[in-house]
Amino acid sequence: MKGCVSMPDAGVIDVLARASREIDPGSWNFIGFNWPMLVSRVARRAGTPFVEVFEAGVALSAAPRLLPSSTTDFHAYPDETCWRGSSRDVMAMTRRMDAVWLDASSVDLAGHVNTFGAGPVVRPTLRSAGGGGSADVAARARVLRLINMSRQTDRLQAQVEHVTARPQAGADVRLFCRGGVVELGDSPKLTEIFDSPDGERLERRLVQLGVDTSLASRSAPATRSETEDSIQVLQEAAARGYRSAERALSSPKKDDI
Amino acid sequence: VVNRRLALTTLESAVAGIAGGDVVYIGNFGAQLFSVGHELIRQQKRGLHIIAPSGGILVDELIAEGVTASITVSHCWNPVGPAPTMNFRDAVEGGSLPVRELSFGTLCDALAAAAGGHPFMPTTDLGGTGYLTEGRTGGLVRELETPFGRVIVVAAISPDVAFLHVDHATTDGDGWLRHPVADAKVAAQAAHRTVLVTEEIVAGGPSVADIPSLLVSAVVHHPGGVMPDGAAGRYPRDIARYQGYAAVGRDRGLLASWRDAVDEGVRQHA
Repeated sequence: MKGCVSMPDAGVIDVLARASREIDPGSWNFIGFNWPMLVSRVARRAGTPFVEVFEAGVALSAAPRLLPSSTTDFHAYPDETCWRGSSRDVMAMTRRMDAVWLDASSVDLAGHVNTFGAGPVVRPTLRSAGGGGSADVAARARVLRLINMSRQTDRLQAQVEHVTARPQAGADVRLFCRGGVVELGDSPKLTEIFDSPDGERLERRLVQLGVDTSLASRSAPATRSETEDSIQVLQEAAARGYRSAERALSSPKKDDI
Repeated sequence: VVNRRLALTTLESAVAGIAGGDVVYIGNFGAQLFSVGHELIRQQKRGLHIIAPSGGILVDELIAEGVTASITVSHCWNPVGPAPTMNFRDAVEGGSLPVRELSFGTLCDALAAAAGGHPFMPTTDLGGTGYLTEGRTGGLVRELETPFGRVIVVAAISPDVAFLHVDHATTDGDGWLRHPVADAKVAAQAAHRTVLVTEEIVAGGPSVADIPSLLVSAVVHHPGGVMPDGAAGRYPRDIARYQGYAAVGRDRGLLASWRDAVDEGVRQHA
């Protein structure tokens, strides 16, 4: 019988799995709101010990028992704190951190980000709803890791309008998105491509933008345990109000049932 | 700490002294003082410049109810979801509300400049971002050539009054945080007057105070002061209430009902 069933979004799971492998044991990571928090959660489930820092001025050395609904959901992480300070302290520490992870609603080949664009992708009517502290940490990051989960490949642009965050010159900037990993900067290139329809779409978009895709390696898809971890994190996130996780868990797929 | 014997005051009294044109800082980054915002609405305050580091749905409410003449924020969205704030969006798109948008670090630096008695402070290099290229900061951020090199600077911001949330405080005005410090200390240092809104009054803390009474003008004992947001170690964020705000949208009647439900929750908590 043919029908319509809801399946977890494999494109999202691939990105969560691949990005979570990037968090090194013992590393200090600035974690921005939304998807970076879920990447961090997947890495925790895999047993990676690391420190995550939120912009309000706190560092966590273990996974909060309850997934915070945002980085400012302070009640959700009372017992995992290994450092507490001010946001200016966080800015002073960012240069020493191993990586800064940010959500990128739209991103361009130079690594410029619009954190929270609203309306149409090109020429949005609302210039920005604000980038919080993303400009501050991006400008100080040595290693900047951006997450974009959109199905709209035009969220990856030649030049973003209404830039809310920009990396410093010489920073190591990589975008983890549906279909692969893209190195951004002066010489952007596709470094990894996922073996999936998303990978093909990403490659087509990058070629359209004039990006070198010839050297991309094939990236291993999410393992079974990574997939299970990712689905569990998405389920937690949906229960904690993450709309993106709700959507990722109910991706409609036509399939035999 | 010198005992300054501050009188405890009520939220109603603390807000009553605010007049049109005042620059009002509503903290904190994260644990937002909905109680202060709702009192401003109840007292039908108008013409205020509101500074809220994380604008969120509280600022969206203040815009909808006509409290704001202008705002300074580092962002304005519903953190649960995350979801857009429709009154903010309408006001910005319609050009009816002057908005000064600073990155959160730049806003903290602006407060630090005021605290230090400086006219401005070097801050995050915002070159290449819309903060500078699109004039989003309302002229608060500039690029300067100095003998020490090119710098981005932000003008000092000194609020007339800052409302800050603390976990517990003494009647003398010493305050203790349980959540991250974020903007709290520097806002207290920068403001002409600081009002602590505390979950609990204590005789003294087990450790040194985070915000000393020297910086504090008044203390308001108001348990549940950041509801429906959460307070570390006290009560959780009410996620369903935040999600419910997305359904309120532009409807003033629904907004009033939403606010009544929040305030009733605070009364029951107290």
